[in-house]
Parts: sequence; structure tokens; C-alpha cells
Amino acid sequence: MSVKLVKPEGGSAPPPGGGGRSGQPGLLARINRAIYRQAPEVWDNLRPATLGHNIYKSIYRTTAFPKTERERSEAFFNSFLLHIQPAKIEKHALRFTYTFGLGLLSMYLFILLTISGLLLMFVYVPSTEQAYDRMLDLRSAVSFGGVLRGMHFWSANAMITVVFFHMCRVFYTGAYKPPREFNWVIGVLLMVLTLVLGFTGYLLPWDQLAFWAITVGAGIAGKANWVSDHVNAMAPHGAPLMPAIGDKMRWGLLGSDVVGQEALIRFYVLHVAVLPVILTALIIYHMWRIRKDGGISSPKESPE
Amino acid sequence: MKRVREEEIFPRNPNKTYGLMELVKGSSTRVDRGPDDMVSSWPHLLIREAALFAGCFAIILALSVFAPPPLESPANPMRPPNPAKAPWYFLGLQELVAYDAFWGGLGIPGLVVVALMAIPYVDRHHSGIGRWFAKSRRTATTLWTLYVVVVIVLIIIGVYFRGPNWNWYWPGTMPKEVP
Amino acid sequence: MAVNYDREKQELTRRNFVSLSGWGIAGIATLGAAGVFGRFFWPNVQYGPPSKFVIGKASGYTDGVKQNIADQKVTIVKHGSQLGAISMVCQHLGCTVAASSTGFDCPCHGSKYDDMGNVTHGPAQIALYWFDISLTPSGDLEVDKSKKNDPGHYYNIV
Ligand code: HEM
Ligand code: FES
Repeated sequence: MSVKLVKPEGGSAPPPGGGGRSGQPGLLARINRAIYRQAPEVWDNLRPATLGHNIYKSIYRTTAFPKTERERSEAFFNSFLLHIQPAKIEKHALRFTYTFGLGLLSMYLFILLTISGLLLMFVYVPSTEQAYDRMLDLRSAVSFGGVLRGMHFWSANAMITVVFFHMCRVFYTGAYKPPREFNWVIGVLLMVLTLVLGFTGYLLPWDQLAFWAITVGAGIAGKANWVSDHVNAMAPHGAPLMPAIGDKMRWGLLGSDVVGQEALIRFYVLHVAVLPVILTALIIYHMWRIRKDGGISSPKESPE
Repeated sequence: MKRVREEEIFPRNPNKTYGLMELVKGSSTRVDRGPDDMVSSWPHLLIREAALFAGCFAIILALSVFAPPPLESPANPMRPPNPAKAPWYFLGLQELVAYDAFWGGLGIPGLVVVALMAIPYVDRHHSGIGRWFAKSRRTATTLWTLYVVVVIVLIIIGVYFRGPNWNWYWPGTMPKEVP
Repeated sequence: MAVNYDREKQELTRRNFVSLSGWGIAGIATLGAAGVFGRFFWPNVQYGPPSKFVIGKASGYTDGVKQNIADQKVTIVKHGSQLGAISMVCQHLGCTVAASSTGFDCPCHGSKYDDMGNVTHGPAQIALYWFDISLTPSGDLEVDKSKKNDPGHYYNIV
């Protein structure tokens, strides 16, 4: 049921939509008018246009269609999502052929990965007995499950490529030079973490590719024994021996001597919780530093 | 006298608890940058960002619909596939690992990461910033290209030239997986 | 940490010494805590498969035939009155090797081993492990995969 609240025009004119016969105000219209007289300003506030406008203004204080320079600047200052970016930007930074949008693309792909990944979590079970069946279910029994898995797969592969190209762009344009040294270091960490995310995610489908890639990967961690072996070889006779560090690392990664349920749960937690949170934090820091380092690099900063 | 004139140029806004106090000379990155070089982020930046996202989303969606990801047979700890390959982005590493497990898998990658992080502290010469392939940076550009080529060649070898038992095969002569 | 150093006097003032000690203690405490909680990932109980398994009686094995116990990744060999349990986990990076006419081959990066498990072709560098075999009270033989030995570590059938 909906009562349309209208301000009665003049004194005697029947309000539109009152539902009454012509000439005679209907019952609803008369109730409406009686209520209105009690608290006119309240009802004014509830008029759809007014209410909508007020709600919008309470959230976002700038017009949605900024026209003047001032309004356009405010649109950036006042928006939570936009304010991390400058309100004015150098034309050079906008040239597509300068950045090829690669940094932004990396972030977009990470966002797509997060969304598709969260949805996949509703179906996936990190158990050696169920994981593979859940993959089959995604393909055959879950609506759009295959597309979601596809988005996660393609975004992951694209992100690794794009992050690498972004690193190349930054190198070729000398954008890592002072004052941006540390943002480059953060960038290297982002690259490494992106690869580790790929590695941990690779085990989850529990198919042949997954199992053997992680078996070999964990074997590589075991090769850190090289370090302890050499240390022990140099240690004076009778000195306490350093434990086989590679074996320790391998065991810590897998939670066991072999790739099995323990490894699956460890990789799962790393993949869906630990690494994404670290990556998110580092990306935010990366963005913040771009602003603090004076915006994106520009040819005006140095001679050719 | 002077203060009066300043107030005329920058009138106090009674609604603000702050105001323009002083103009100072100085050299910062903004000096000499004419106002003409700057444009409003709205809409110039925003529209580009939105377009990029739309394009990115469209491509990923199209790939997901028309090229579904692979799924092999379920994991079988008894029987490794031959060859057992890591995801493509690790095949460069796997190629190195086939020569020496410690140096290929841990030693060299570790050194590469450290070297990458060290770059901006080694190459600090203030030239060529903001330009692609600046002439003054020819050495740096060449070295980096070398690195990129090595990475890509290793990956291509791993993906297309390695078959059963990690033996070398020319494309086209690659046998199907050995059971 | 320039604040801890009085540039003019070129010495550590008392205040800065106290400050430095504070940072040091906080750092050591943090590292210690991280080390202690890091142990979380190396529990004292193993959830993986047990390291010992029973392989039956010696009479069940034929001279010179490699008897593959697939789910344990172990091959049993018998030479006369001696029995050996050879690991089938490749010493390179842990793939499962397959028995071949010349010994054992690894499909992952091409390592090859002879019949005794010695490396004949890289990238693996050490020989396949030979595990301990012992007699259980029931008269069955038992392999212990936690006891790793060099090739030729036989069990003498009595
Ligand atoms: C998760 C991965 C990453 C994300 C989301 C990301 C994001 C971004 C974004 C949005 C920009 C703005 C400029 C542009 O779009 O090109 C940027 C700039 C930058 N990035 Fe990244 N990035 C990532 C990885 C890296 C890596 C691997 C490096 C280098 C090792 C790096 C170093 C830099 C530097 C130094 C800048 C400043 C460039 C300039 O001022 O011209 N980033 N990043
Ligand atoms: S794991 Fe056997 S050769 Fe690499």
C-alpha cells in the first residue's frame, strides 16, 4: 500500500491522485491533507525528490555532474575512492603511450581476482578428497561456475604478464630514480608476491599438474640444504651442526614430508587469506607513495 | 602598507581557520611548470581509467567464456606425468633447475630479486626520467633488455622445447605425453 | 637512527643510550616472539602417512626382480640372501621415478639411476636412498622410511 504524499494546493483544490470522484476530495486525500497540516516540514522532507537529494548530499557533497574547475576538483577531494589521486594532473601522465596503463591494469586484474576468488570460495573445499570434485562441479553443476573459474585463471595469468610489463615500463622510463627508489623496491616485492600467489593457487585444483608442480616446487625449497651443508663443512670439528635448513623449509611449507592434506590446507590459507591481505596492503602503500613522490614521473624532472 | 595590499589579493575567508600567509621562493618539482600542462583529473583521468577497466573486464570475460581453463586428471601421487611441467611463468625456473637444483631454484632467483631491488640505489644518475629509452641511458636500457630476453627465452624453451624426460624436442616433433 | 647520536659532541649521550637500549630490547622481544610462534608451523605430531610399513615375508620376493610398492614409493630388490628397500623419490626435486631396464628414470627433469640407485645422469646428484628393513615379532619384514642410507644397505635374510 502506498500513500502518495502531496502538498495540497491552495485550500480547496483536490490533490491529484487522491482517488476521489471529481469535485469531491477522496478519503485518502483528506487523510493526507490532515496529516500534512500537522507537520508540514516532515512531509516535505519525505518527498521523493527531496529525500533522494538529501541522501545523496549526506554521502557525497559534490554534484554528480561537475562543470566548473572548482566542482571538478571537489569531485576528487570529496570522494573516498578518488581522493588518493590528484585533482589536477599533468598532461604527460595521461598519455597512454607513456604508461600503457600497465600499473592500473595490474590493480584492476587484482580486483577481478579478489572478486572471482571470493565467489569460488563458496564452492571450493580445501580437502584432498573433495577439491577435485568441486572443480568438476564448477564446470558442470554450478551456474556460471566455469566462467568464474575462467575469470580467476585468466586474470591470474594476465596479472603476472602485466606486472612484468609494468616493471619493464618503469625501468625503460627511468621512473625508479630518486625520489622513487623505494617504490621500485615495493614493486619488486609486489612482483614476487604475485608469483607466490600464483604458485600457491596452482595446488588448489588438486589435479596432476597441481600435484607435481608443487612437489617439484617444494623440492626446490629443500635445496636450501646447500647452505647448511656448506656451513657444516666449514665448521670446526665438534662444533654443533646447523640443522638441514632446506628440509626444515620444505617441511614447513608442506606440513609433512609429502604433498598431501597438510600441504593443501597450508597453501589454501596462504592463497585466500595471508598473501592477498599482504598484497592489498602493499598496493595501497605503492599508490600512496606515488603521490608522496610527486606524482608519476615526468620528463620535466631531468635532462634527456 | 604591504599587508593591506596582500589582503586585497588574497581576501580572508571568514569561514576558514586557515589562510594564505606568505609566498616563498623555492625550487621544487613544480617550479617552471606552467599551468597549461595541467588538466583536471575529472574527466580526463577518470574517463581513461573507466575505459581501461571496461576493456580489461571485457577481454577477461571473453577469454573465460571462450577459453576455459585446463583441468587435468585428478592428482595421482604414484605416477608423475611425463614431462611434469610447472605453470608457464615458472618454466624458466624449471629450465634452470634442470641444470642445478640449488642454483637454479634458489641461488639465482634470490640473487636476481636482490639485484632488482638494488637497481635504484646503484643507478641514481639524474637523467632520462620520464622518457622511453632515453639516449643517456643506453647502457641501462641494453642491460635490462638482455635480462628480459633471457627470461622470455628460458620460458619459451620450457614451454615449447622440453618434452618427456625434460629432453629437447623441436616444435612439431614433440611426442604426446608418455604414460 | 641519527637521534641516538649527538652530532655536536660526537658521542652517545645518556638519553640517547637509554633510547637505543629501549629500541634494542623491543627489537629482541619482537624477534623472540616471532621465533617462538614460528614453531607453530613445525608441530610435534605428524599428520602425514607413517614412516613404517610392513612388506610381508622375504619368501614373497623373487631374486633379481624389482618389486614396486607403489603407494609407498619404494621398490624391494632381492639379491641372493639379501633384501634392499630403494626409495623411488627422485633426489633431484622429489618426483617419483619409474623402474626401467637400466635402473630408474625420472620423468620430471631427466635424472637416471642404475639398478643400485646410483646416479648415471643428472641433474640429480646423490643416489636414491635405501631404507632400513627389520624383522617384526610376527615374522613380517618392516621398512622404515625415516632411516635413510647409501646404496647397498641390505638386510640379510636369516
Ligand atoms: C601488484 C602489482 C602492481 C600494481 C598494482 C602497481 C600499480 C601501479 C600504478 C597504478 C602505478 C601508476 C603508473 C602506471 O599506471 O604505470 C604504478 C607506478 C609505479 N610502479 Fe607499480 N604496480 C605494481 C607492481 C610494480 C612493480 C613490479 C614495480 C617494479 C619493480 C613497480 C614500480 C613502480 C614505480 C617505480 C612506479 C612509479 C612510476 C612513475 O612514477 O612513472 N610497480 N604502479
Ligand atoms: S625431480 Fe627427478 S629429475 Fe627433477
